[in-house]
Amino acid sequence: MVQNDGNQLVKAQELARRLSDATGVYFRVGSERQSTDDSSLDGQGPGQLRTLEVSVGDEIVELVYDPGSGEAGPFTTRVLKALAREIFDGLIVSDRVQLEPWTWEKLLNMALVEKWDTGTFAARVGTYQLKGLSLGFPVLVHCSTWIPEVVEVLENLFPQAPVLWVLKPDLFLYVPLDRNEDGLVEQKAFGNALIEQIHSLLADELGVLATVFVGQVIEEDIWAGFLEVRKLTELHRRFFIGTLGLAAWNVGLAVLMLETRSIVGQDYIRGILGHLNKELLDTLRVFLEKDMSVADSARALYIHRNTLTYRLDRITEITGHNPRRLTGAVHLYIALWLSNHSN
Amino acid sequence: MAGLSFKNVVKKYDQNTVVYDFNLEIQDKEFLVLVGPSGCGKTTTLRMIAGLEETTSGEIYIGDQLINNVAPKDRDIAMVFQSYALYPHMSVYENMAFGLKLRKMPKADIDKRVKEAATILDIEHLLDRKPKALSGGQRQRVALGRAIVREPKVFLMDEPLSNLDAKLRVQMRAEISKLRHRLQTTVVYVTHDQTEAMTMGDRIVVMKDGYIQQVDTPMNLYNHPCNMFVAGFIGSPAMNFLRATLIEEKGELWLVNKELRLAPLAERREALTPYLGKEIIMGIRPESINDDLSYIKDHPAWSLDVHVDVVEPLGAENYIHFTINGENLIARVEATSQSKPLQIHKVAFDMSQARYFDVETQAVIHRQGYEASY
Repeated sequence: MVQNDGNQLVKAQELARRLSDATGVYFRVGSERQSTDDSSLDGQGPGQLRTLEVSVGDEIVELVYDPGSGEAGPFTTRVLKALAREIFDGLIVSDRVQLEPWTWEKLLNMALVEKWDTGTFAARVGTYQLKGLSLGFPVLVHCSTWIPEVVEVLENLFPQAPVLWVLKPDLFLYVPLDRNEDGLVEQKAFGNALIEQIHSLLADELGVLATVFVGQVIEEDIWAGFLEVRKLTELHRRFFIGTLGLAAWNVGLAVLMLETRSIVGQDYIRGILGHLNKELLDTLRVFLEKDMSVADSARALYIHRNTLTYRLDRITEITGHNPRRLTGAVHLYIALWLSNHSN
Repeated sequence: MAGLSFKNVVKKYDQNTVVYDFNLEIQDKEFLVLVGPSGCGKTTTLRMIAGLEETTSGEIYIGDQLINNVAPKDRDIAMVFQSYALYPHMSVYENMAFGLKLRKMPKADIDKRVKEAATILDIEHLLDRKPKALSGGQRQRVALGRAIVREPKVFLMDEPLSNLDAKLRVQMRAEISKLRHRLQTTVVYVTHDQTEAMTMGDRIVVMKDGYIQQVDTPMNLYNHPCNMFVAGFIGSPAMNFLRATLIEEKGELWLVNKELRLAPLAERREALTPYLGKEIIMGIRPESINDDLSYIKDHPAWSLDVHVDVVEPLGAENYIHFTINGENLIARVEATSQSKPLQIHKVAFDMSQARYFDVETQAVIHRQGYEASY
């Protein structure tokens, strides 16, 4: 627990926090620095901000708030000021008010609303003396429907998780690695297993369809981890819909394609594969899946290898790319990948 | 207890259809297996039953109740997955009881159900243990126990054995088969493993690219596949396929293609006649090719000299890998076979067991002796 040491800024922050708790509207101290880098936040920040001037001891402090951020209200300025006074009086009635400690969840919440960059987040971690985290995975669980028991199930599945941040219908977790997951291969296997475990448990226990996103292993920089897994949700929506989730190391070409407008991707697909009929497309798909092995592909397609050779020649003629050569296969693979993953 | 019905069920993600016009009746207490390669729509179908995915159109019934708009938790189903996540700090007893606690069931009822399930699964002695102290098979049993305590109308199992090693998988396969007889409940079981499907299912639904290919008993699928996909997918080693042209010589039908010259069974004449002069595909299972000398002597029109690539002795039998017209084939022969790698060897095809497929449609041309399952 942090003691009220008389520091005006700490008092103002505590006042803002308690006002937020009381009203459901998010308040912060106006003088606190904000990030100017909003590019990664996809417009999920607050709407029109307002300021509220309140007395904190001998000083007037500006609290900034977004009237649209809470479910209750709307509150008039007069009501908010009265509430602030009442809370502050409560704060100073006793000189030894116990202020609630900062938690990772509270800090993440603030970072989200105020659109912090990773530098700001790191600075605040130091300011609020949050305890260090060991190596672990940032995990975002997106639930198709929200029920409160999701938290209970995940708390019990990961009792060692130091962070469990509820963002209905999402939930962000920081899952520490075991000592058994020293190597990169073991870490990735553990991360992939998280997707299946969380998905299956929520489906089985609660009938909730969860899509699970797992970021790269991190230490401390949990905000960067959150931003990464949130980006994975967009990759999933565009390229992997219908799968249980996505781990950062499994995105493959998708990360390159994310910035590409879908119309460009469609033009690329059409330009390369547009004139192939279903039989030739199936042949190409199997040929690339079988690592360009004529024998394996012919067997998988139940055709003679001469028939396969004929079809591969036709594909070369039609597309201008020879699937038997690496450069041609790369072009055809990218077009097929885009075609399969364009939702 | 209840059966399940699907009526014209379709599932789409945006414009991408993953399950097409799915129609199926699953009987009460039936063990039905959905099998097919990755991406065939089997897991999506299971998720639609569970309510984890909404159907795009069509109706699903459990018993007489239309469940399209019933919340997943109210569908009275239980699921078992390949990834058997257990709560690490809870004992086996607590793991099995947790789901019931979430459903606010009275403590005495929970205790009764957990103990009953533990008896069924033979894990009473493990009830106080934590998951870390369990083997893979024991953990899988606990996962099954969590489903059993719910006493659901339908069990849904999504590749529950895929994470287990080969030996344990065989054991658990038998355990689940035993269990379904004891529980007398409808089970829908998803797998990509045709051996699991064949050994466990009362009936099997073979799916590919979102379409049902065939719904049948294991033996009907094996002996009377409706198309090349089913024929190739069911059975291990897979059915061999050979392309050949059907010709008539001196009143007899022959399948010919360079090194290949085999006479179809006379009883197939009527079915094959429309294909005279055309190319067809012959399918033959590895066990229907043999190298028994007396059989070869009795069936000269079914015998060929082949070039042996590899011989795999498996103890009870040998697999001979050989080539005809550049196609790789496998024969499953007696362990006493004299075949040797890189030598010419005479084999006979049991043409009474041959299946024929249309080159264009890949559908079977004729299903001798086929009797549809219920």
